[in-house]
Amino acid sequence: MNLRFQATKARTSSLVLVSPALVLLGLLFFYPILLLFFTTLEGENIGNYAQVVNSGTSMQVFLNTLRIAAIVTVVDLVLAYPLAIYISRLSPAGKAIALFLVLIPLWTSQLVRTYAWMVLLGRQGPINNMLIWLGVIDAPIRLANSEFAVVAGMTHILLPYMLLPIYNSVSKIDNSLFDAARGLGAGAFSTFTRVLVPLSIQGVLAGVSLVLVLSLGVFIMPALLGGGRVPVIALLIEQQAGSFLNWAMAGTLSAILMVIVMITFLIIKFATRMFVRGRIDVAST
Amino acid sequence: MSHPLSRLKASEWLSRGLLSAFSWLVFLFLVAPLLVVVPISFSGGSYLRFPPDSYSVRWYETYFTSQSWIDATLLSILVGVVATILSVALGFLFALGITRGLRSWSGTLEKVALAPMIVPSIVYSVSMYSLFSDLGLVGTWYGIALAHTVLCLPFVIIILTAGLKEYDIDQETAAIGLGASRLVAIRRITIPQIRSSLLSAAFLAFITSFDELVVAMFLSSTFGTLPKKMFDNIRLQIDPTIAAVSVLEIVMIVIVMFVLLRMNKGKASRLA
Repeated sequence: MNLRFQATKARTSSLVLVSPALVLLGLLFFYPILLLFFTTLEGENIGNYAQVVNSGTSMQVFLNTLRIAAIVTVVDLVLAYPLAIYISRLSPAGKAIALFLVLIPLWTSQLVRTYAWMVLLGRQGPINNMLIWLGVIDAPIRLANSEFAVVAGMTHILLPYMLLPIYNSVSKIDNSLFDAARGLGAGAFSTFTRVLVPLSIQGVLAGVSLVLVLSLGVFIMPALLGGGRVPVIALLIEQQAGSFLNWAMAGTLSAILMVIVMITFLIIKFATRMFVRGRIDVAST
Repeated sequence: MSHPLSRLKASEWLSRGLLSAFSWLVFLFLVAPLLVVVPISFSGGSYLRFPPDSYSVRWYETYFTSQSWIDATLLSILVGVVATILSVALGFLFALGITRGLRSWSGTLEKVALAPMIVPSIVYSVSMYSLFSDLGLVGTWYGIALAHTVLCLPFVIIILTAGLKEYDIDQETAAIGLGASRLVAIRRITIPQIRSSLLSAAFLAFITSFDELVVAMFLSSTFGTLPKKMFDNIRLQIDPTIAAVSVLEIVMIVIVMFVLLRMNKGKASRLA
C-alpha cells in the first residue's frame, strides 16, 4: 500500500515536471499548426486545394522538391556510409578528430555555409579557376544559380545528419563478427550484405529519414544558390506570403507540404519497424 | 606471394586504401567550403574574387563600425539567450519527469516533444505568423524568442534525457535518505553531475536560435536578427562583410566546441 502510494506520488510529481514544456508546445506549436490546418479547410479557402492540384506549375514545384530531396538523400547516403565505417575503425583519438571535423560544419550557421558555396561556385571562385587552370574550360562557366549549386550545397549541409546516425549504429557492431564471417568463408561482398548492412540498417534509415524530411523543407539554399531558377515548395510558400500577401494560399501549400513530410516520415518509420522485426524473427528461429 | 593468405591481405590493403582515400575526400568536401571564406574576408577589394587581389581588414572594420550589423548581432544574442534559458529550464524539468516517475509514458512524451524537429521551418513560420498577428506579437523580439524556444526544446530534451539516463539515480535517493529534500538533492547532487550535458544542451539551444532565419524573418517586421541581416546582405549587395561575419562565427563555434569537448573528456559523440 505504501509502495503504491509512493509510486503514485512519484508519477504526480513527474507530471508536474513535464507539464511546463507540454503547455508551451501545446500553445505555441500544436495549436498554431492545427489552427493553420483547419483554416485551410474553412469556407472558400478549401478551393485553394483544388487550385493547387489543377495548377500545373504548383504540381511541378512539388515534384521538383521531391526530386531534389531524393537526389540529395541518395548522394549523402553514398558519401556517409563508407565514411561512417572508416571513422568507426579509427583509434579513439582519430575518432575524436574525425567527429570534430563533422561537427564543425554541422554547428556552423547554414547561411555561412550557403555563402561559402556561393564563393566556391562563383564565376571567379576556386572551382572555376581550377577548371581553367586544368584546361577543362576556357572561360568561367555558370556553376552558381543552378540546380547543381542547390544540390551541392544541400548535400554538404545535410551530410552530418546522415553521417551521425549511421556512425552511431556502425560503431556498435562487434568487430569480431566480421572475423567470424570471414572465418566461416564469407567473402567481402557477402560480409557486407549479410553482416554490415543488416546490423546498421536502423542507423541508415534514421539518417535517410532526417535528410529527406529536412531537404523537403529547405529554404535558404534554393533561395540563395538557385538564383530563382530552382523552384521548391518552401520558396513558393514564402512568395505567396511575402510578395503576394496571399496567406490563405501560403497556408494551403504549408498544409500540403506538412502532409508530404508526415507521409515520408511514417513510411520510413514503418520500414524500420519491418526490418527490426525481420531481424528478431531471423535471430529467434 | 602465391599464398592465399597474402593475396587476401593484398586485396584487403587495397580496399582499406580506397576506403581511407574516399573518406578523406569526403572530409575535404565537409571542411574545405568553410575555409574558402577566410581569404575572402581579408580581401582588399569589394569584388568577390578568389583568391583576392589584395588583402586588408576593412570588412572586419565595416562590421564592427556598422550600427545595423551590431544591432542585429545584439538582437540575436538577446533572443538566443532568452530562448536558451527558457528551453533549458523547461527541457530539464521535462527530462527529469520522463526519466523518473513516467517511465511507461516516456516514449510517447518524448515523441511529442521531438515533433518540432520534423516540421519544416517554413510551415511553422506561417502558422506562428497567423497566431502572432492575432495576438499582436508580430514584430516583437520576445515573440521570436518564444518561437525559438519551441525549436530549441527537442535538442535540449535529447541531450538531457541521454545525460540523465547515464546518471545513477541512487545517488539522489541516498541524499534524500540522508535528510536532503528532493530539491536540494537535485540542485546539489544531480545538477553538478550532468553539468556537461547541461552546457552542451545550452550551447546547442543557443546556436539553434542564433542561426535561425525563417521564423525570425516572418515574425520580425522592421528590425532584423543577424541571420536576417546576413540573408538580405547576401541577396542584395554581396560584399565581403558577410565573409568577415562568417569567419567570426566559425571561430566562435570552434572555440566553444573545443571547450565543450575538453569538458566531455573527449566524448565527442555526446555532442552529436
